[in-house]
Amino acid sequence: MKAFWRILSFFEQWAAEVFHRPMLLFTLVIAPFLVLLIFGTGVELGGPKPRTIIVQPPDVDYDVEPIVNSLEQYVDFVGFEESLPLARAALERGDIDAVVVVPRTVQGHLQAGNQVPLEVLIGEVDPVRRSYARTFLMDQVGELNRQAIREAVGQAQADAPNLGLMVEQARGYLDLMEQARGDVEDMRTQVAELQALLGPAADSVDLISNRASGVALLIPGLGGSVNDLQRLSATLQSLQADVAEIQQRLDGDGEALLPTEAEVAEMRASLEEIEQLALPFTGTSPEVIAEPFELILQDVTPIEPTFTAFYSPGVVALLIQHLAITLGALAIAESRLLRVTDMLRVSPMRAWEALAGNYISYGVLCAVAAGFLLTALTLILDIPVAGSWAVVAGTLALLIACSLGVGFVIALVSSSTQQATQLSMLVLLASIFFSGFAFDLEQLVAPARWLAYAFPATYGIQLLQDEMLRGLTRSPEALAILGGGAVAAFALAWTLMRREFQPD
Amino acid sequence: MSATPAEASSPSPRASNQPPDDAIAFEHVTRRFGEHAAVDDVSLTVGRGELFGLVGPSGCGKTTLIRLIAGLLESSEGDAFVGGTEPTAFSARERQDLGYMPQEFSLFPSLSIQQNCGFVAGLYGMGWFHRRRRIREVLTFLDLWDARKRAAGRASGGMRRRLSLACALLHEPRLMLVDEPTAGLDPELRVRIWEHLREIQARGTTVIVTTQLIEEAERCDSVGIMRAGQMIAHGAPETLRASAGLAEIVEIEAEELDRSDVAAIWSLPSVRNARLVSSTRLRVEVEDAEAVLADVAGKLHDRGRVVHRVDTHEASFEDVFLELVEASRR
Repeated sequence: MKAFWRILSFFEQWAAEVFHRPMLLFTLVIAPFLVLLIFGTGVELGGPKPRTIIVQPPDVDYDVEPIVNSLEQYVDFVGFEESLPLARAALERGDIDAVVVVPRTVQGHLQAGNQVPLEVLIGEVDPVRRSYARTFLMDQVGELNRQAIREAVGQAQADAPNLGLMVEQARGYLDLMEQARGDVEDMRTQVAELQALLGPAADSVDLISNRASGVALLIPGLGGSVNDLQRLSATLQSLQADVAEIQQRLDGDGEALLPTEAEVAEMRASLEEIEQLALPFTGTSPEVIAEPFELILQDVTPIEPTFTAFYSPGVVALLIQHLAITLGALAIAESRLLRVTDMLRVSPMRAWEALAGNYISYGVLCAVAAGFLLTALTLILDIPVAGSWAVVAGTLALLIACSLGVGFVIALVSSSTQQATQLSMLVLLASIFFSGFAFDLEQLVAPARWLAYAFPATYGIQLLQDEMLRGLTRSPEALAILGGGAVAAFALAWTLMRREFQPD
Repeated sequence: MSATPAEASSPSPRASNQPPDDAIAFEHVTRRFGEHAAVDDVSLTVGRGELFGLVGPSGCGKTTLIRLIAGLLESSEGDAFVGGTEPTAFSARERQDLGYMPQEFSLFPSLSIQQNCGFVAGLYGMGWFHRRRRIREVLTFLDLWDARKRAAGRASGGMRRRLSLACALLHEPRLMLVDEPTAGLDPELRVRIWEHLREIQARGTTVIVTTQLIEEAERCDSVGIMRAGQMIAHGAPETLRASAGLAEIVEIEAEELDRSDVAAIWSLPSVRNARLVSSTRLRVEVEDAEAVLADVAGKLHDRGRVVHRVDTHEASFEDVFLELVEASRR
């Protein structure tokens, strides 16, 4: 029973301490929430819009507006400039974030068989923003290309002959050729008509086929359609060549050789093939050719987390870890500073009792802070808890126990309050970088990842994010590790506390 | 208190060979910090129920000795027993009998006097009801009850010393270690603190108290005098006074005194010592002041000195201390 009162004495002392120091209560409970609130409301979702100038040569031979329109949703256009050096100087001064240099001509590059250069200058030193700029610019250039393909295909389809009608007419000419078998002059007329019919169609199909071949290189899976298009073009050209040969025989100086039945039958077969091959091409929309794959994104998470909702569990885990470590470290350090440790050592208090007393006192304080944070998150910031509140509470309890143990160990290995404070801050700093809060754990290479797994917040963030946002515990082993860490930290703190209680 | 001779054989760590009436038995105890011996070959016994005073200048080893008794420090050499047990091996039950008032304030400044008492009472396993009654008793006893709600950090130095004393008293220990309870206090408060210590002792508690104020030690049943880590003398105040060989003092105020006057006084029989305090004051140590008073005054008169005043009194305990320190140097 006496041990009970001894352990409880710490709680009573801290309850009185909190009562006498309202600012302490503010620091412990309200301030972390304010940090969270400011974080939640003070960060804008999505990447920053870079302030951008367009450098447009004075003699540009096309309308740049479509390019500007396509980029506008991602950048903040601040104006046009004719001089690249002036724009570059503004970029170097930091007045703007990017310069887009549009080419003087588009048609000229395309006619020369070259890509159209779209030069973008950035002056960003932040690797994240650089990466973001690179990604979105590539996406935008891709979009411009797709747009160009869509327009070209649409135009080609609009310009292309009606192959069905062409085949019907060609069959009519073949019928007439068979009827005009004894009349060379009539035969010449029908063949010339047929040749005139095939020429434009073959040229158009050839042009479309060539354009589509380029696209097929970029879009895997489009190869089959392009092959059909190429076969269509080849068949048309072959038919065109056959008709030209017959025309040459009819127009020759010698005796006119009329087409044989076999030749006419072969031309009919070619027309049949053309008809079959033309069907899918003419029925395919430019959208499909330009973008054969359609993204169908299905979100299986139970909620659609906002930016604030995604980061809130991490912030809670970090704050609670920091609170527990700092309180644990300062509790022991302050006892030493006030020489209360001597009072403990002279009294019947045992090392484990002193440790248990501190665990209970600061554990309750941290639990109150965590409870307040969670309540405020759900009620004020509208952050959901999709899963079990019991798992969330259990995670926080283990996180607090583990972090308090770490705090006690820090204080017991430190030689002064300043050192304990510095070590606590160092743990916070390292946790921000390595706990998975700022960077995904997958992005960390081996030594840094090992370090990440040393922080209680790493497991806390993972467990809280899963339970609050996904509604499930994907890594139950993280709970076990957190519990094991709490036991290990207690054992180490107890060993050090026993040493502390030994005579000097 | 009595000096204990060194024993030839060392006792086992937790076994005691001390007489049952001794609260403390130290034999040739030394405590070193590096090369420096803060407590050097100290032997002493303190009987149960005694009020034992440790006196000596700052840095002489008093606090180190108290911390050795409390089990906060381990001795480098010698045998130390408190209540029959080595202090470093105290059980929780044995610590329950120990009260400790450290030299420096070691409580929570933001808590009230009553809350600090509550915390310490909790450390000794006192339940709420028992605690409430006992805190009221002790704070009333030390005149702190009316100020019980005041934050310790805002209490006066005297209140804080009494609060520390209250915390050491709460669990009714059988042995109290009180380190410099009157340091920095005004004379009135010092007197009250000593009255409290006497009352505590009267309730059967053994009290070990340290002080730099030599005169205060005379209030103890027995006194240990420390210098440079060594216990140079110990015993009852009257025993120490006798061992110092100091009896009575004749103080003379006259005009234009010089060294030749001192030499003249030295020549008188039964004069043990004479020294010039200033050009108008002469201090003479004698065995019997009344017997030599006329001779001393006459001698000065014969030498043409105008004597304004002659005073006689017993040698102070400070004189005893200085004499014993001087003797230890010799």
